[in-house]
Formats: sequence, C-alpha cells, structure tokens
Amino acid sequence: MVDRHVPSREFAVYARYLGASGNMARGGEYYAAAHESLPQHDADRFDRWLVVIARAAPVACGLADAYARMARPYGLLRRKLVLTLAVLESSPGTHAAFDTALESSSATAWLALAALGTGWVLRCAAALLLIGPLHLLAVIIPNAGASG
Amino acid sequence: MGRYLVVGSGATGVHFAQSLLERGDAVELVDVGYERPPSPLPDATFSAMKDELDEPEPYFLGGRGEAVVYPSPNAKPYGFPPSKAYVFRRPGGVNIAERGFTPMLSFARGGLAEAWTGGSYELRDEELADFPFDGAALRPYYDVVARRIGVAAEDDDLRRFSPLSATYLEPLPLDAHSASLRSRYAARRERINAMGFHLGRSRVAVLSHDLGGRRACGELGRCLWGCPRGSLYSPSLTLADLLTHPRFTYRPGLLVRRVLLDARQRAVGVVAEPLGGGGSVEIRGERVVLAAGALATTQIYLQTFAALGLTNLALPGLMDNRHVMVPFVNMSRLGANVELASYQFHMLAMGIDTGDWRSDAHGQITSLKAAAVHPIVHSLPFDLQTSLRVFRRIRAALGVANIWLSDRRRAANVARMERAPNGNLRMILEYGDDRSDLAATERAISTTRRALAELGCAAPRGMAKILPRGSSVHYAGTIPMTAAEDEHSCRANGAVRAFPGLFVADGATFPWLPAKNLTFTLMANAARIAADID
Repeated sequence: MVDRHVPSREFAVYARYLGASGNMARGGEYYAAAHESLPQHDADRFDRWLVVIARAAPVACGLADAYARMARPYGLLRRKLVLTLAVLESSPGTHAAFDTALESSSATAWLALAALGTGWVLRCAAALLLIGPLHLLAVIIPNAGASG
Repeated sequence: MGRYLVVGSGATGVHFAQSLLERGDAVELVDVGYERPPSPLPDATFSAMKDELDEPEPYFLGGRGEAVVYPSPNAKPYGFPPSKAYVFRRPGGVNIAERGFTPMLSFARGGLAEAWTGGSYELRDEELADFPFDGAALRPYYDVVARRIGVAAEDDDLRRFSPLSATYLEPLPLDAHSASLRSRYAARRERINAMGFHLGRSRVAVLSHDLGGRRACGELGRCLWGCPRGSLYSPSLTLADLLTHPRFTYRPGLLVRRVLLDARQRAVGVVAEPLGGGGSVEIRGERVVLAAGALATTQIYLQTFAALGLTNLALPGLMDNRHVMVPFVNMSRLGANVELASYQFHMLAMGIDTGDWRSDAHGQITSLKAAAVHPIVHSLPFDLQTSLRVFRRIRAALGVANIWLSDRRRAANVARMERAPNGNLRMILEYGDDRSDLAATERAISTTRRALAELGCAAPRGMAKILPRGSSVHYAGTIPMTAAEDEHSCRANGAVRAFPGLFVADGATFPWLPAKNLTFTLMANAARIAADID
C-alpha cells in the first residue's frame, strides 16, 4: 500500500522550490496519483539519496537538482521535479506563474539572464562541494545503505 | 454504379470515398474507427481551459500523468496530449515488430491525419518523375481537395518549391514572432537566398473563413489538443459528412486482416476480425480498395500472401522522410509578450535549394505560443528552477524549424513477414539503411542555422536533433506505382498487379518521397485514382 502523504509532502517542497505559493493540496493529490505511475525501475541508491536531500527543503532541493542536472539528467529526482512542474502548469491558481512569459525590455531580459547564469554557476559549485562527496561514496562503498 | 469496399478512414480513404460518391457509386468503408473524444468548452482558449475545466490536470496530463514528457535522451519538446490518445491506440492482434524504425500507426476515425499539423504543399512536376503520371494529371485534384478542406496559402518565395495551382484561402494573420522573422527575411533576402534558403508562409489546412459547418480559426491556441471549431482540418470531419450520404455505409469495429480472393486470385472482399471478439467475417465488394495508411495496407497485403502460403515475402523500398528539429532563439524577441491565444502551429515554411531537386529540403517554422511548458523547460541545460526562469524570459523568442529530407526506395529498408517466437506471423518493419542521407542532413542543418543567424536567431548546434526514423510519419514505397510491370507494384490507377480487383490508394504506392508534407498529395492522389478507377 502506497502512503500518499509522502508524495504529497514532497510535492509541496518541490512546488515551493519551483516558485509556487499558496495551497498545494489539489496539486499534491494529483501528483500522488501520478507518482504511482512514475518510472522508477532504474533508480539506484544515489538517485534515492538525491530525492532524500531534495525533500528536505527548497534550498536543498535546488542543490540536489543542480547536481542531478549534471550527473543524473534523466534520473528519479528530475522525473519527480518534471512531474511537479507539469502539474503546476496545468492547475488553476498556479498555471499563470508557469506557462506565461515574463515581459520586460530587452535590456532587462539580458540582465536577468546574466544573473540567472551566474546563480546557476554558483549553485553548481555548491552542489559539487556538498553532494559530490556523497556521489563518490555511493560509487565506492558497496551496499552503503539508505533508501528513500 | 459500382459498389466499392474501402479499407480505412484516413486522409486517403475518406477522399477516395467522397470522390466515388460524387460520381454516383456506392461505398462501404471498413474501419477500426476509434473515436475522437468530444472537445470540452469549445469556445475557451488554451489558458482559460486551465481555469474553467473542473479537472484540468487529467485533461492536460492524463488520469495518472501519462502525457507528462519525462527527461530522456530522445525526449521531444512536446508530447501528444491525452485528447489525442485515440489516434495512436492499437487494437490487440496488430502484430508488428520494428527495427531501426519507430513508426506511428493509427486505427482512429480519420487515421494518422487526426494529428496532422495541416502542412499542404503541391508537388512540383519534376517531383513526379518516378510516378507513372505527370503533374498535369494530379494538379486538378489538388484543387478538388483544397476546395473540400480549405487550405490557407500565400504566393511568395516558396512557389519555386511548391506550385499554387489550386484554389486557396487567404492566410491567417501572422503572430508577432513569425512576423518579425518574415520582416527580417525581407530585409536580408538576397544574402539568405544566396545560401539556398527561402522563406514564406506555411500552406496550412486551416480555415481563415467559415466553410460548411466548420468555423474559421478562433485563435484559441488548442490546435494540438484538437481544434474544437473544426477550423484545422482532420479527415474525421469528412467522414462525418460521408455518414450522411445515402450511398455510404460505415462499418467500424473491424480490423481487416487480408484480402479475400476467389479461385482465380481475384479480390472479391476482405477478411476482418471484429474488435469485440467472435470469428472472422467476410465482407464482399466489387472492387477492394486499401487506404489504411502505407504501413497497415502493407500488412494487409503481406497477410494476403501469407494466407496463400507465401510467408516469407519481403517488400523493399520502405520510405520515411528524415526529420530534424532545429530549435532557435530570436534575439529581437527577448522579453516580449507571448500570444497564448493564437493559431498554435507553424505559420512560416522554408525550402533549401541544393541545386538538385531530388535533394532539396523543406521545413516548417513554428514560433512557440500555447504549449506544454515542462518538456521544453527540462531540456534546458540548467536546474529546473533556473531553467523555468530562463524559459519565461526567452519564451516569446523561442521557435523550432522542423526540416524534412527526401527519401528514396532502398533495398535495405523493407517490410516483411516473419514468424514470431510464439509461432504467430508478424510484420517486420526494418530500416536497414539509415545512414546514407546523413551528410545531406548535416548540410540542411548547417544551412538552416546560417539562415537563422541572418534572421537574428541563435540556433545552437547541440540543440539540433536528428529524430529517429519513423518520426516524420510520412510512410511510403512498399507497393509502388510503376509504369513497368514489376512484381508487387501497382498501376497509375492504383490497380495492384498481383490481384485483379484490388486497388491501393495510399502512400504505399509512392515510388519516391519528396521532402514535403505528404498528406495533401495523398488526398489529391486518392481523388485522382477514384476518378480513374473503372
């Protein structure tokens, strides 16, 4: 029997990380149902560790996602985050913050893109420092236990 | 008055049937016929649907997220929505294995063209060089079909790639992104043309004014989800009209297995299996016409031979256009607003003149408007939060050029029968030669990227994607029309040489595959055959 509270709670964290606010109950319910069909068969120990880190808080989710983008772009955490985004862009109340363009002058857009690029580099550096050793651990120590 | 038995309700089946009915014949159409679900909120825009539907998530993503496009090496920047699931649903017992080829098959009312984006391009006379008839024989039927379905077009630089002989509607107003590309093209036309690249308006089977019971495009942004106004053409619209005709009989729920032959191997009907179970049924007609789509027609043809004991027959010459996607960012559109409520598909098209008409490439350029966001966001090279923020800044600047290359019949690309491990016969679709056009593909990508750069767009090489063979959904070539009396071929009127009384009206008959959207030509050719059949 799957405990739907766990996916609902992780949905709330992922949604806040992606920028959603307000009541997440509706999206969480759909996420929990869809989560049961999420492809997970190929997830290994490190994939599950990344999920555990990401579930902790939006900031940790950002670090885990940045690391996953580099090391596990098609892995379990990325799938969960993409499912979250798909739900948010389809739901009343949240879709407008996800499926619309941010209108600005061209100069403002360029500045924003530069800032986002810088933030991405810094986040990657932090992720490499903090999560890189865990990845190494998962590779070199057989059966180092943990599952999410 | 003849009595014709037609298999399949796709683009060719319905136009073949309509032409026969118009000349006074009777038609019985046998089909699997999965039905399109009704469109909810027919006047709501794409965004309004998310607010007004009681449960928008299942509508957009499926009951359990089946329509979510997860990250994978082969993920496309879009996915088919749940409302299009009926198009790709396969009945049990369709036994096909694919090797080096990932085709789509449809058993829906309207067939694969229910997911058509409407690109409608007449072939040039030279592109019919391998066909046993010339451009003059086909041209009138483009007009017949254009009047039936409504095709919006404009006379521009693309005339050199595709004539404009039919009666066309005026095009829809351009969206702001497409307008900016066209305006820049006009300013730099000579330089861009010198690369062999030419830009013009897409020719699209969409209504710019009401036609019959169909309404003009209402710019709802719901083209991919299924136009609720009937503005974007799909063959099920024609089928709905045919159903009101007194000499038309529709028999859905039947999967045709093979052609029924008499003792002299003359086609006298088909053998079909009811989807609901029960034994095979025989349905008879004076003429049997296969219009089930190139792959399903090929399977019926092969299974007919298998029933005669020939279980190892191979049909060489399977074709499908090479399909490439080149995403780009139009720098002049950074920070601009995006028109979510607008015609969603391509409004511009392109041609690449290589100096050899057989190698010319063709493409359609879609600016991003209404769309599922997540497949695009997760393909960006950042964490998802950063990707989303970047995406919203550049959304109005994003577009994609879909490019197609021609294909020719090659011995290594075959459809054949094989006995599966469980002892049942199955059709193998094998694309053994997928490399001989790679150099031409790279040249087309390079030309497109250089032209886009002249248009003020960045098109990173790493983002260009050569899609797996089968994804263009332009299948052809297994039972080609030939002037010579070749084995496993048909005559100009679709008459199959192997079996008197059997005709083929779909893409299986094409002896060469030009780099163009095929559907308009398929429909015109079906109307031509219907006029020529005795």
